[in-house]
Formats: sequence, C-alpha cells, structure tokens
Amino acid sequence: MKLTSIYFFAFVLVVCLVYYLIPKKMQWIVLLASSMVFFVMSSGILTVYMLATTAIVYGGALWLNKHRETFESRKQELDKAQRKEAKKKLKKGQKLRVAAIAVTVLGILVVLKYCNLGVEIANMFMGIFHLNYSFEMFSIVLPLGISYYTLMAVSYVTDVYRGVIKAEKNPLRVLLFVSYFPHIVEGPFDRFKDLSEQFSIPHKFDYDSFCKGCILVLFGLFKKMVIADRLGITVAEIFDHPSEHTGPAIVIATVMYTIQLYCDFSGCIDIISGVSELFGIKVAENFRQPFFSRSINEFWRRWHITLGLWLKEYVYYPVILSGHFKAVDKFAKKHLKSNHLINVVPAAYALFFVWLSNGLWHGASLKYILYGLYYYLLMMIGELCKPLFEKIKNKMHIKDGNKPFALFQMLRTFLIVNIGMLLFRSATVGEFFRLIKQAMSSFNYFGGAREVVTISIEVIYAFVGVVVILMIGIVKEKNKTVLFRDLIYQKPFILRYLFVLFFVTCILTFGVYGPGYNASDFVYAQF
Amino acid sequence: MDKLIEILNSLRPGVDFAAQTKIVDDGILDSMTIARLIGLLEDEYDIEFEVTDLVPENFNSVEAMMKMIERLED
Amino acid sequence: MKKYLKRTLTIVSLIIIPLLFVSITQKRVDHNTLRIQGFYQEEQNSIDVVFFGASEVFPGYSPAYAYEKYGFTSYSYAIDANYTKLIKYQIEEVLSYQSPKCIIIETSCYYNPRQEEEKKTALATLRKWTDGIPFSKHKTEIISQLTDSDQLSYYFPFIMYHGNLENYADIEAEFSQKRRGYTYLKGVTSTNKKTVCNSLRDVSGDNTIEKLPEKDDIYFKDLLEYCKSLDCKVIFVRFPQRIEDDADYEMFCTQNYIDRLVAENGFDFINLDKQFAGIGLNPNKDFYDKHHMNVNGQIKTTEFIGQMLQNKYSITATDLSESNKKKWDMSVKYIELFYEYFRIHENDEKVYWWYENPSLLSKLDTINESYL
Repeated sequence: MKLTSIYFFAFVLVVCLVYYLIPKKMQWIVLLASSMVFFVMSSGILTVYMLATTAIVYGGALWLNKHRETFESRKQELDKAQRKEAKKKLKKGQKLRVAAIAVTVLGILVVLKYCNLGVEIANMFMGIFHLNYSFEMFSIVLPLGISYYTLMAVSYVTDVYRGVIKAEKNPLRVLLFVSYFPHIVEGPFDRFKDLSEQFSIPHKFDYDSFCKGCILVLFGLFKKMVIADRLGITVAEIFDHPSEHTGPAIVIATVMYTIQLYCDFSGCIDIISGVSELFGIKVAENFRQPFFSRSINEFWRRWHITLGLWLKEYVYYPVILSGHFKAVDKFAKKHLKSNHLINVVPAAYALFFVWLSNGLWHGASLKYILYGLYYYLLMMIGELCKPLFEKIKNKMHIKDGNKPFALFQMLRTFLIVNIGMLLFRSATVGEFFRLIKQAMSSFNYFGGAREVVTISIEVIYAFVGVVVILMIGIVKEKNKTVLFRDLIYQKPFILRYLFVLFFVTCILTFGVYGPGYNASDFVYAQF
Repeated sequence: MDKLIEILNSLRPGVDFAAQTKIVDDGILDSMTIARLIGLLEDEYDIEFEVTDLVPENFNSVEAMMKMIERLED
Repeated sequence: MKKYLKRTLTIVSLIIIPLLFVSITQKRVDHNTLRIQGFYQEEQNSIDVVFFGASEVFPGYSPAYAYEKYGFTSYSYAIDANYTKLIKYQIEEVLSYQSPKCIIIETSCYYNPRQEEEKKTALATLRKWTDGIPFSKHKTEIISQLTDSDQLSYYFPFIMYHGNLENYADIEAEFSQKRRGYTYLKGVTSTNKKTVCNSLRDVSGDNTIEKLPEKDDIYFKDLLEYCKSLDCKVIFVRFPQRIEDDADYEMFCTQNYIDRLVAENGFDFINLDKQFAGIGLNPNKDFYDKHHMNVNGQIKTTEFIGQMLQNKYSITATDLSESNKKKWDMSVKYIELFYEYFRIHENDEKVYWWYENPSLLSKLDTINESYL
C-alpha cells in the first residue's frame, strides 16, 4: 500500500474508528492487528522473517532476564568476593548472549540484503586474479522494512541487556513494537521504552490532537506529492540519460535530487508521524531542517536523526568502551606527539565503524560504503584541520554569530551534501566520477535551467513548493521550542481553516497522482 | 573536582566548565571528545563505564560528572 | 451538539470544497468535448442523421447549413483521431439518446495501423470522447471494456488532468454552452489555414484494392455485423481528401477494399475522393490540408450529401417542437455569420483556428450588428 494512496488513508480511517470505539485496554491490540494486516498485505509469506526476528529477540530478552534473576536470587547467599566473581561471570555471559542474539538477528538481515554484495565482491576478486568464473546474483525479495525493524529489534534486546528496560513477558507487545505499521515502512527508529509506554496508556479521542495529526499528514503529502514526485520526473529523465544533457543540467538535477530526497523521506516521515499521532502515539523526530546545518556533523544530527542516534548508542558507545578501542587510545597516547592528534585519532577509529555501518545500512553495494566513508573522511579532515581553521577565523576576525559567515557555512555544507547525493544517485562509483567530470565541463547555467524546465514545465510547481517549505523551515528554525502545527493552532479559526483548505487544494491540484506520471515509490522504502 | 576540570580543559581549552550546566546539550563536548574523556576518566579514577552511563544528564555539568564518578568508584 | 456539528462541517467542507474546485477547474475542455457535450443537449429523438468519424467530419460537414437547405436535423458525433474500435461503442451510445433515421459512418478512420501499438495515443483519443459523455450505465460499460487501468480517472477527469499547464481548458466555453443549453454551430470547426496542393492524383476511376491492416479489418467486419442489426439506415462515406503521395494513395486503396466489404454486407459506400467533379471541389481553394476541407469545401460537401440524402435516400425532416425549431433557426443564423466571418479572414496572413466559444460568437455578433 503506497503511503500516498487513497487505500492507505481508508485503511487508517477504519483503524481510527475501531481504535476509538473499542475499550481502551484493547487499543494496542487494534494497532497490532492492523500492523499485521498491513505487513502481510505488503509482504505475504515473507512475514515469516519478521516473525522470526521478533521471536528471537523476545525469547532472547527473557533468556537474559532469567540469568539476571538467577544471579539476583543467589547473590544474598554469597560473600563479597564471590559476589564480585559471580557478577563478573554474569556480565561476561550476558555479553556473549546478547551478542549471539544480535548476530543472529542481524545475520538474517545481512544474508537477505547483502548476499548480492558478497557476490559482487567475490566476482571482483575473480576479476583481480583473472579467474574466468563469476558467481550469479541471487534474486531475493525483502520483507517490508527489514532494515528498520531489525535494528529496532536489536535495540530492544540490547536495552534489556543494559538494564534500561525489563524484558517484556507478552510476546504480542514485542511484536507490536517491531511491526508497528507507521514506523515499519521508513522508520524512524523508535526505542521500546518510548513506544511501549505509549501503547500501554489509554488514549481518549481528542479532536485538537487529531486535527494536528491531520495537519502533519497534509504537510507530508505536500512535500511528497507536490515537490518530491514532481522533481523526481525531471531528475529521473536527466540521470537516466546523462549523456543527452549538459553539465549545468546535471548540477541542477543534483540539487533537485537532494531536495527530492529530503521531501520524499521527510514527507513520508511526516505522513506516518501524523498518522501515528491520530492514535495518540508519538514517534521519534527524524528531521530538523537539515539544510540549515553549518557543518556535516550538524547535518547528520538533523538528517535521519534516529539513524544517527541508533548508530551512536549501539555502535559508537560500545566501541569506545571496548578493549580494542582502549588499545588504540593507549597507542595514540604513547606514539603521537601532538595533543590534538591524541584526541582525534582514537575517536576517528571508533567513528570509522559508525560511518562504515551508515554506508552499509543505506545499501548493499560498494557505492554506499563509499557514501558513508565520504562523510567520514570529510569529517576527519575537518577535525584534524580544526586548529588551522580556528586560526584563519581569528585572523579574519569572524566572531560566532556572524550572519554572512553562517550563511557561508550553510552553503558549504549544502555543497558537500549535494556531492554526496550525486554519489547516492549514481548507478555506480564510475558513473559518479563521470558525472562530476561532465558537471564541470560547462558553466552555462542559464541554458541548463532552461533545459531542465523544458523537460516538464510543471516542475515549476515543485520550485514554488520548495519556497513554501523553505519559509516554513525558517519559521521552525526561529521557533525551536514550539511545533509548527501548534503555532498554526494558535491562530484564529478562519486562518487555520484557510491554511488547511489551501494545502488540500494545492495537493489535489499540483500533487503527482493518477495516470500520466511515472510511478514513484518512496526512495527509502527499499531499505 | 579540580582534577576533573583540568582533564576537561585539556580537551577543550578556554572553557569555564565550572559555570556550565549544559555541557553536552550546548555541544561543548561532542561525541568525539566524549570518547577521549571516557578513556581519561577511566584511567584517572580507575572506574569502568557502562553504555547506560553515557547519557547527557551525567555530563551536562561538572557536579553531575563528579556524582557519576563517585557512583562508579564504589 | 453544536460543537460536533461545527467540527463535522469543518472536516467535510475541507474535503468537499477542494474536490469540487479541482473537478470544476481541472479538466480538459477542447472542441471535441464541446461537440460531444453539445450532442447531449439536443432534444431527445429530434436528430434525423448522425455522422460518425474522425477529424474529416466536423470541418467538412455542417448540420446547421444542411438544416437550412434541406430541413433535416443532423449532428457530427466525431472526435479528433477517432479510430476503428470506438465507432461501434459510439453508435450504441448515440442510439440510447436519439433515434436517427440514418447514420453515416466516415471511413477514413478505418485505416489506422498504428492505433493498437500506440496505446497511449489511443487512450488519449478515448478520453477526448469519454470526457464529454454524461454518466450512464453505458458509460460504465465503455470504460470497463475499453480500459484496463486508471478507470477512476475516466469518471473523474481531474485525476488525469490536474495541474496540467499545457492543457488550457476552455472552461469558459463549456460554461457558456451549458448555460445556453444548446450549440449554435453544431460542432463545426474550421480555419483559414492554407496548404499548397502538390501533384494531385486523379483517382476518380481507380478501383485498386489494398487490404486493411489486420486489427482494423477485424473491427470493421465486427461493425458491419453490428450495423445489420440496426433499424435505421446505415451509409458509409469517405469524405474528400487530396491524394498527393504514396501514403495517401495506399489509404485510398484501402477505401476501395472497404467499398467491397460494405457492398458484400448489403450497405452503400460513397467514396467522395472519386466525386471531386460531382461536388465541384477545387483542390486549391476548398481544403486547408490534404485530409481536411475548409469552409468552401464544407458548403459544397454539405450540399452534395444533403441532396443525396434527400433525393436518393428520401430522408425527411422530423417535426420539431417550437422551442427546438427556434434553436435550429438560431443555428442557421450563426452558421451564415460564421461563413461571412470566414470570407472576411480567408486570405489573412495570420492563421486562425475556429470552434464555438464566447470569443468567436462575440465576433460573429459584431458582424451581425454591422448589418443592422
């Protein structure tokens, strides 16, 4: 079910009706049932994989719990030395157990998603050694949201291991967390603690909250249908036939693609966040006006926020507390002369894992690995050169809060992100470099703009849409503590009414739906 | 407390840590410096961190950090 | 209670108002839509002759002029790029509203070898027709049998046409025609465009046969079977075309094949390519391009067909109601004004394309006033 289709909204409406009519104790069951229906409708028999992952983490969490409870019940009988020994043994054992569970669950993901990458690498080696054999690619269909629900399942069992949450005895509640239909398609990555608390409390129908949820959905539909899908038509035409277009057109198409991806992804997140709010369930924030970022570090704290948080909590922190990290730290202290380098090198070691994971998560090919490492390299260079940049800044008397400099930083970040997006969009790494070369072949941007608009004159609607969300973005940046839809809700009824009327009419008029357009599926839903 | 402030200043010179209440939230210590800080604190106080300790509340002020260190020393 | 009413009204209106706005303002309205809609505005069972075919028909024949000279009512139920498969459905549709004494099928649309391959074009043509048909059981049959996807967009055209900047809809013309309740020009379109006639071939005695492409052949034979079941008179006509090159000639030869098929099934076929002399057509003055006639050709061809219907087929006029008679009299007035307008602009440098809309009608009214 496409998230912009009328069937999806009919589905949501039916779920809402049932949700608010039945006894409040059973509301979470309605969500579970509808999530299962949604999943089975989209993945059919492949639902088995999701059920298997859920069963493994559910059982695994109880297994961890059992061992801890056994220790807790026995520790009274032991003296201090024995207790310390037993605690150490438990810790080691728990670590192995949670690792085994995580590896199993991630293993399912890796095998299904990355086996073709393995084939690609194997074939590459075959080529290097001039062996006349190539492995065949597998043709595998993935269950819905496997990259999302797998990581959420791992976070559940890891949180149990860390003692952040208790193991859930009811398997259906774990299943609801894993398969919850708003976040199964494209995330965000929620934590079990946040969602299960919300699933457990009764939700009374509140008209204002319901309306605010609808406004968020409208906003998402606007971004997705009016901007992302329209830009997508032109972008697809240019990137599918790059040799027929000029360098400036490629550059413009790259910027359009960046905006398309943002509106597609954040639009989808808005739709599902809004839908979830209709049930009174708030999912995690995933975007915070990322193009206002002044550095790539900041960008990745504002773009796909929950992925960054997940990688920080479940990859970065375990790494910096690990033995091998401490070894690197020791090595750096012993052998590096500069204090700055001693500070940067160990962290760089840990971050390598984070960015490799980031790249790999995005896709099962070398291109995506390079994508992650591209940002890693730029960030590390930035860190290493930080003292130098500070010196330059001081020499030029640029103080913090300098507006033109802030604008320069935002544009610089935007440029870096666009290069990354070009890599993301290119079919292969080779094509990426060819496109870069082509992009620098001419600077006739006026002609390039005309070329782009000629492909489909209606792309102008998307540009106007971009201006609209830019203005809204500026308002949101200036009012960081208040939600935009709360701001709208404070206005008089007639203004709110007209605002919504305007948006609905715009979506119906300028949105991409119906025949006569190329098919557009959510870009991030392939993960 | 002074030793702690000395360590913090070695990572971020020129900051008056004693007066800060939002060290992590305001970005004075980011994830890169936290990695280094963990190592330095573990060495200095002979403690071992868990991932559950790595929350902003424990690092937002010098007092909070001391409290955490004292807890881990036991 | 009041609160619930307000809330329900708010939500319902926020859905209904935009939907209404979009369905009214975002559709495709061109001369095809207007012509088809105009047909349904005619009084039931008041039309004596209905013409079916493609773009040869509505510049080449004038119902209002035929009424003026011969007294019978007629209508051109034709659209641009009309093709083989659709004609049968169009006849069925027309017969559910009118009981004409005679239907005339223009056969140029029966040579369309690309029609099945170019599905996108074929569906676009289908929409030119279905966008003008009012909702009915037959419309649902048409759509379910002739399309396999996006059916909802045939019932609600805005799904297809929303946001389409390149499709300037003549909604003003649609609105004014609906308000008036009938068309003046009965679907006639024309232009002052001219093209030079290159090496016209004389085919008046030529009976060379070229078989129709396979699919067109099947549909045409199917149509002939269907026509046998009809009560009214069915006549097949090929409107005059300039045969200039090999492609034109090949098409002409398929008309000879149609001639034979039609005769085998007991119907009459009149090929006006062979009747240039009989009609009095001047290839350099009466056509705007080799397939379509201009007003001069329209007048001559209407006279030829009208005389034929009156003399050979004894088509007599139905008694019209008083109100309907007045409407047809107005049509006569406007078609004459239109012909006058054509003569004024016939030799202009600038090329005009004319179809019935408020702008054209106000220009015709100006001519009318200058006579008063």
